[in-house]
Amino acid sequence: MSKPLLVTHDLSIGYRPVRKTPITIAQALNLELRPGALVGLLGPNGAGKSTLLRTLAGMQPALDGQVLLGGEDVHRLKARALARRLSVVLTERPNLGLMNGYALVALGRHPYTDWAGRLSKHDAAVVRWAIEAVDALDLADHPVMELSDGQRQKLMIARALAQESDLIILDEPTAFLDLPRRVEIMHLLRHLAHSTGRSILLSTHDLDLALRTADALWLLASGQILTGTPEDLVLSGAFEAAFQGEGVHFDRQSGTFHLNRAGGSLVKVNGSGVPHIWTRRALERAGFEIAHNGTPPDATIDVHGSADQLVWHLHRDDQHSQHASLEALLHALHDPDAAGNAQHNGHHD
Amino acid sequence: MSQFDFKPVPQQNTSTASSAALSATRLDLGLRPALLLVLVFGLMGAFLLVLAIGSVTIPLEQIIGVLLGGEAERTAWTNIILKFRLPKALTAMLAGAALGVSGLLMQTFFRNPLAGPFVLGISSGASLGVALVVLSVGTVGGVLLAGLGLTGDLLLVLAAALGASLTLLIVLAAARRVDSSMTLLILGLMFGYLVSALVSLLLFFAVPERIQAYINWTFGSFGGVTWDQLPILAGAVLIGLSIALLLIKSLNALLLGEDYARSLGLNIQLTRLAIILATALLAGAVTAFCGPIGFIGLAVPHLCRSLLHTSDHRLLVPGTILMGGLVALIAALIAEVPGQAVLLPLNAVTALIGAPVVMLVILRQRNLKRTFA
Repeated sequence: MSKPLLVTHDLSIGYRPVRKTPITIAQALNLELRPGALVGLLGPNGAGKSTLLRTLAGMQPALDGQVLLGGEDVHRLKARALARRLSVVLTERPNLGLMNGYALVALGRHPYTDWAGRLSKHDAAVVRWAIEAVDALDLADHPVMELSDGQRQKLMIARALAQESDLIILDEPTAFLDLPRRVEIMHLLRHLAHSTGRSILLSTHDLDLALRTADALWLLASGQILTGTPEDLVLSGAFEAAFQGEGVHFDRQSGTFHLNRAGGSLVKVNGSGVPHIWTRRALERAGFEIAHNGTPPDATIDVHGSADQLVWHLHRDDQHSQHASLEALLHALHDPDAAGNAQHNGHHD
Repeated sequence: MSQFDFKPVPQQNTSTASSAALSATRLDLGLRPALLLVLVFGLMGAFLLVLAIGSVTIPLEQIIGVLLGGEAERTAWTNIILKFRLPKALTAMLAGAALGVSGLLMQTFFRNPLAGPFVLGISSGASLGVALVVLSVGTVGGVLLAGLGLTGDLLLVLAAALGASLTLLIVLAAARRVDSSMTLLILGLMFGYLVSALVSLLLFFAVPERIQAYINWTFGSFGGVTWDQLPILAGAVLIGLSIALLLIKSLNALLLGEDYARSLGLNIQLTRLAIILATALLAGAVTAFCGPIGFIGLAVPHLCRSLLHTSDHRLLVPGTILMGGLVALIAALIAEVPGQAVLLPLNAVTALIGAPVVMLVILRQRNLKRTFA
């Protein structure tokens, strides 16, 4: 196993308000980060994810303990030396005026360039490599202000890459993005970690996505951090414990969180493939509980047909009706009278 | 239960497609330094015009002759050029460059398009320093200082620079406590009022002729600097501009915000100190010699960004130096009212002519956020 890149010794994180006693968020943290790994930092809102990241990045003093990056204390390194070992992508969105994509990424060469910030041939090559690595060559000559959040985030990641640091720390890099862009960014980061051998540590609220992409997870909750591979943390129940809250429960089978809806009736769904999946989702969303083997359900639904002609058959007590859409099915389940109409209509059709 | 396909993005396809399209697009910073030449020529033209135009108009070839060390057709012309117009033109260039650059420093530092030396009360601080000197000279302090061999002009520079530095330090102390630049601007504004109140008190208790001297100073003028004083102004301005030029790289990093700048290896404390020093020196010196000239510092950086179409300080700093000089020379030209013996208050001219121009430029850009860095 490779040597860890980042190690913390009995680290305490928190704030030191002026003229008040320090507020400790978490203490006695002994963490390790290995090269070439994508690590997701997860935790409920207010758990202190940003504080931990800022402390690890040397942007905020530790209350106690040490953060060692490649054997050197990040809080003692000079800014320029630290910048060559560690780069960050933060949640703030600076107003970049008329800067184009290339100029933004080129700022990543700051720790290497001369007093005027001139790019050498090597610098230019690194900047180009970084832009290519995030697949953003087409954004290079666009004013950054005109780009979408996702495009901007790619350039910010390229800028961090151009810094040629061993460790990249990202605070919620997917926060402002739509779902496809989140997946794209997460996969990009994983690819970068694996292909370049850098360590990438990121905080995120996308639990599902983190479970699927991260090599390891750090779960920060109630002043403690549990670490491990995502699957181990799910199986041990640690994942569930970190995020448990009233009205929410974690479905270990799907790895997702659901709203608890007390008193939802039990529904059995027969069918296969994509229509089956989406029928279950629609029912769950509407507050029904999906019956697994054993328990006798309150109602049974059969999904028939192919993509262009789907039919849902609803069996409840001794009634039977058929529906042409999930909307009609849900309507019928909620309102038995409407079910009668649907059945009636169904027969006419 | 996959919500959608979690396969990695097909990187290969998109990147080959975009790099094919990219063979035409160059990867560069989008800088157009050639535009600086336009400013250089503009500056030279305006410089010669300031030498040529005034209560008497002097032909261009005569001016060039005098500048090259010769004598004009009429001795009066040589006198006018060398004794009055040349120091005035040089002062205007220095002052314009200094105000423009100090405005640029403040706008980048606070990441606010409304920032400028005047807005943050730096000129107000300098005014207080000057008011203290002007209004108290002639009383006890004046005698004392004259006895120490300090000439009035050097004293003015010192007082103004001290006032400016103190103000900026107070603004910075506040800046460390508040995150919002808007709060900071309001604090700067309030500080300006506070200082004005102190100046009012000084005026209230001062001798009438001293008051007139102070009011004349507040009108602003490039014409009051003699050959003896010019080296002091030039020295202060050149040091300030040199610091600004050395700060180019740091200023670019600051465009990303202080947290990012620090993560890029910038020594924030040192940079802060250097920016304060440069701004106080530039704004303080100009305010001492020319009065509080409010408009140029705010407007010139905006004009520069529009013209050069960049946020990169490698172009903006030299651009602001040139543009500041040009704008100040044009203002001096208009204040002179060609052909008349009247001299308009410089401050009235800069704002009267400049404000509509900046409004036009900004409205044409549609979006200030885009031009501003």
